[in-house]
Amino acid sequence: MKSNKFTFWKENVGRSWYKFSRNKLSVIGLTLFILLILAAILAPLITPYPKHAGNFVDLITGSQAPDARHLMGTDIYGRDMFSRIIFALRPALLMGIMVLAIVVPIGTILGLIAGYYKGKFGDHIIMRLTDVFLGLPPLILALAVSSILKPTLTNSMIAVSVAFWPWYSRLVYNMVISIKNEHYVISSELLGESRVHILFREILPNCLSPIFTKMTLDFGWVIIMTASLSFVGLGEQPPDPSLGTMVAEGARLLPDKWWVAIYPAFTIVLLVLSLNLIGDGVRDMFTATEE
Amino acid sequence: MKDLDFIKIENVKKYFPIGNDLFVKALDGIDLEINKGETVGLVGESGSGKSTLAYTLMGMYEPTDGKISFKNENIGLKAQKRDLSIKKEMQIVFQDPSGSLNPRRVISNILSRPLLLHKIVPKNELKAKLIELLDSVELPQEYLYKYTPSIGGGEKQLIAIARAIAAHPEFLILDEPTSSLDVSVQGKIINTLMKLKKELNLTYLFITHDMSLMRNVADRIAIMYLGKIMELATTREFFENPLHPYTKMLLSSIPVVSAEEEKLLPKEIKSSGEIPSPVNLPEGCRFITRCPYAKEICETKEPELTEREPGHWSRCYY
Repeated sequence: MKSNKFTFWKENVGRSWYKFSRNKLSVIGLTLFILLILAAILAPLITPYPKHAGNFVDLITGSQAPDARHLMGTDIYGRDMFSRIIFALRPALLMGIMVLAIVVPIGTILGLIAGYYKGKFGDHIIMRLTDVFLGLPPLILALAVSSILKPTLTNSMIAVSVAFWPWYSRLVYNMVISIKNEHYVISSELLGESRVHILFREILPNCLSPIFTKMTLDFGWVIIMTASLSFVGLGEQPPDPSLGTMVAEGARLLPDKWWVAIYPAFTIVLLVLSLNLIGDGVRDMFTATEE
Repeated sequence: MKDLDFIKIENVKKYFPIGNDLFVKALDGIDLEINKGETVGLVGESGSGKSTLAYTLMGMYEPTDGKISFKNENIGLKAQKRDLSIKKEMQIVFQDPSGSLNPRRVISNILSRPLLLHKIVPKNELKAKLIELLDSVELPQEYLYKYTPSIGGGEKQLIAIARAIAAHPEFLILDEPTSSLDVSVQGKIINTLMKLKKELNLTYLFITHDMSLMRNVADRIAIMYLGKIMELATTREFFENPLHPYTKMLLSSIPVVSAEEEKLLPKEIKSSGEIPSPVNLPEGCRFITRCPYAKEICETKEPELTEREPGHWSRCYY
């Protein structure tokens, strides 16, 4: 038989990739992002001084400018900046993944429920709560939450999540209230489908493209916010490497020992830029084109 | 023998509140019986309440007043409150097939839902049944793994029809199933519908504003105007001996291509005016604003739907 499930999937994946790859900048972004992920995973193998990622002090080699031995110089404790930056990619990427893994399901489910039962009690509760959280600037909210909690990676994850979930419930809510009046949703209701089926199989698939697009863009925002939290000392604690903390340490040494602040800051820029470029491509991928 | 109480609609009203104690009177007392196996054509201008009637029958709206029964069982309820067994028996085909099929679900998924939900076939026979369904609307089985945005409008409507008949319903509402399609595929859709009706012994409520189409497919025709039925007759009677001025007006507005056809149209009345707002209905007869025969009595008292000849009902004093 010609049209079995395998060719069906192959066709669709191929078409999505074609749409994504038409935007060359997105391909560059994706390549960069994959390289950064690989660097983070293989950190102990590719860094010249893996030990420098932890508690290591060698004051003799402190504050050296970049040279052949230390590509990006060393910080005041004599630790190799390059090694520390590569290791710092790990918590940064982990934050992005974990925050999205917490925020997206919660925000989406709340948005689905509130949108489908628009005007009912549940809608008012969920959306007014969302409004309260949206009313506060996200960074201030995250700062407030993390200053109550102990400064650890897990707790800054929770703090950033608190700031991000309402954006998803608002996004999904607005989509659901228009999608639920589509005739295909009404058809399923008339057929006698369960609400769970209608919410997750009929409505949700039609909300996915903006969710995915927002996810790639938010990944970058989460990294920036995490860095901001650790910049003011509320994220991961030294000696564990963290991009925000490194920028904070280096900022005191500017402009003489510029490499201590500039390289980690530049890494943050690279990470966020690659994710934003991917976001553009993902948006194009999901935009329906006329056949 | 005909089952007389297949679908019975008694004095059904549907008012939509629009604030300030004002209501859009989309349905303002509909009485209609549909017998098993027939095709009832429901005709009217835009805004006459045809689709509202269809949606109320399907349970998308709860009637404000009145009774709807299906085989003597009350179904004047929202769909959520109806029995699954009743939902199985009634299905609807919407006007716009692009909107009625989920663009993110593959066709095999769309078609298998009614089969699984109403347990029509066991899971291992599902695939064969899906191919049979596609076959019944004359589509090849390759369509199972397509998404609807990649197929044509007529094909989409055939898929929508296949979904509607999948659970073997007895009653199908066709809400202008051809009006959003190319003329070239309209004929195919109509032929498929008529073939299916014969094969599956379906009953149709066929909503359209295409009078010449009605002539070919309907057994009886009901004319709706501002939420009420103005005339109800067999198709033959309807075209040969129209009684209500509104019917005559609609018939005279059918486009014709030849002199012979021109002769068949009622002469005395030409289409004029717009349908008034269903919020502030005229006192007396609701057609009075456009009726050339309007007399004094028409201004004060609304005529009843009366049987003027056997099986031929009209809501007019004359």
